[in-house]
Amino acid sequence: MSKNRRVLVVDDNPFNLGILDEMLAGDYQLTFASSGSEALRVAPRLRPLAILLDVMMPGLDGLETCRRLRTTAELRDVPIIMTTAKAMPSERAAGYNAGADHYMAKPFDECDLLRLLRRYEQGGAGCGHEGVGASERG
Amino acid sequence: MFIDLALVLLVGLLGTIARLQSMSLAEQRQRAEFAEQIFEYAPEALVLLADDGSIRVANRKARTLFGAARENLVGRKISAFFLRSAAEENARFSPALRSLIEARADCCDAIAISPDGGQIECQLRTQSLMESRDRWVITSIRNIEAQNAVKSRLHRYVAQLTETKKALQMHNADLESRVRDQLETIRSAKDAAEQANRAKSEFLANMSHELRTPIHGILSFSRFGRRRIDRCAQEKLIEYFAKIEKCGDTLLQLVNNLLDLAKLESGTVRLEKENIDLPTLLRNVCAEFDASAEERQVELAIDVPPKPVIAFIDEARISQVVRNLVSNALKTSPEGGVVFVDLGVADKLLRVAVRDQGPGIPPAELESIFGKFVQSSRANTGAGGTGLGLAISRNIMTLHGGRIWAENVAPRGARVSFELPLGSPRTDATELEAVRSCATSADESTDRLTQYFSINGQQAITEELLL
Repeated sequence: MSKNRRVLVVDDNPFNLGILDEMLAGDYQLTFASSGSEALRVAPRLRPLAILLDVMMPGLDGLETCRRLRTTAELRDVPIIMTTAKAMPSERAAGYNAGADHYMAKPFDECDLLRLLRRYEQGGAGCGHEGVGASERG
Repeated sequence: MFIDLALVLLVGLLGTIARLQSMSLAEQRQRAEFAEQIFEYAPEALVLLADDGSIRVANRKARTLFGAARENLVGRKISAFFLRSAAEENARFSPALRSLIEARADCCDAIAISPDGGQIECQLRTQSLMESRDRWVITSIRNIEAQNAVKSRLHRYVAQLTETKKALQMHNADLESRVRDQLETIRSAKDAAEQANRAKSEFLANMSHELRTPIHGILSFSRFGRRRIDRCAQEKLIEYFAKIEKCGDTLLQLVNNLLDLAKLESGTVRLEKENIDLPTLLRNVCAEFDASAEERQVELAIDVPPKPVIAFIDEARISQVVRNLVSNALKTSPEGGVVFVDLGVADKLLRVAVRDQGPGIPPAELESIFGKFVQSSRANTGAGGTGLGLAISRNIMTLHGGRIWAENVAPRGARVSFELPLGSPRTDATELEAVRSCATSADESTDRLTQYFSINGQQAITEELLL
């Protein structure tokens, strides 16, 4: 069976989607969703390697989307990474409480994100690029 | 006590005298003389009264008290030496004295008339000499002026104490209510401070968020460029730089807006008002957006009266508001949509409305979008917009004595309107009123407010003088 390289990126902001696209497109197959409800719709049949989730979105916000993804049977084991500009300790706590596996507050380095995804893939190899930053694990 | 004892002793002696008929004359005389001496030198005024109230004998003290010689006292009615006002006579003294004499009572108070015509409060005590043939009554008369003075002083003192106690109780109650009031004041000040603190924390969190987005862009795109420089096309690098530049612009705009808002909220901004033609202002601002409107394929439709509409406003500030509204409308407009900019005049008010054909604003956000760092959830389109534009616009409108609000329009789209008084330089009163409410809502200190008013007051006075 070939490795799962599908990553679901959920963000309503095209500028942010552009940055994530630039970070990941070389290594992963990306599917974009511009809202929480869209993510909930596509995620179950997509069964991605991981879901990158923005917090501040109109309609269902990232936290509520995360909670709902967590209660979806097919997605129980899919890692969810919050990628957001909300960096306060209380905001991080809210992310983890909603069921996120990792919380990456902006600004974060693509290396950290890639390393995290590699770990999900096979449990190990670090980022191939230089300039490894600190892990965003809260 | 001593006097009472003397009386008993004297009575005893007199009784004994009566019984000692059998004694020798010399002995009897000696004893009588002794009794007389005791009577004469008793340390209290004593009189012997017959049963008709006439004085038989008065001792030295009694004579001093009444100021009369022995011969002037004997035979006179004792009532002659006491106050005889009608009231006293009927109500108090005479009956009391009569009761005394008739041995129905053994004590009464009366007011003696002193030799100089003064009045002396006295207490009379009597004892009948039952064994004597003529039913004599021995009466002691004690000056109780001093005693009464002490008593009345005591009464006054007690009254004073009662008064003081009452006053203290009232004072206490007053203090308690003042303490309660102050506690209430302190409590509400504390609530206000906590509210302000929460608002500050929220503001900092929002600011952190607003700064992080462009900083994330700058760091990300500069890393992309550095890491991929030898394997990516030049166009890609140019794109990275363009995005870095855009993020830098956003940061700069954010900082400028923050400073501007802080200045507006501090109440230190002085409007530079002139008579300005509104249609010209609107056309000029809209012209700035021609290029970006074309780029987005949005039409800018201006509808203004053909003749001049003059308002007394700060041109730069009102242009800033219009620019903000048009910019927002362009961002939310769909491709091929129209942004309408209208100017209407009615009732000494002019109204500018900017309407788009975008998704509209969720009803719950119609008011909150005028807060700091609040963007409509439907207008979150990317690195542009600082979330401060409408907050700044509202401050500017308030300073002008105007108002600004948002509403949705059928079938789709949002309209943001502002109203201004069609003013002359003399209508500054409404402006000052507006500044007051603005500064209060912005939690400004009274000092600043006062400072602002004094500056503005002087300005108004100067303008009056110049006209």
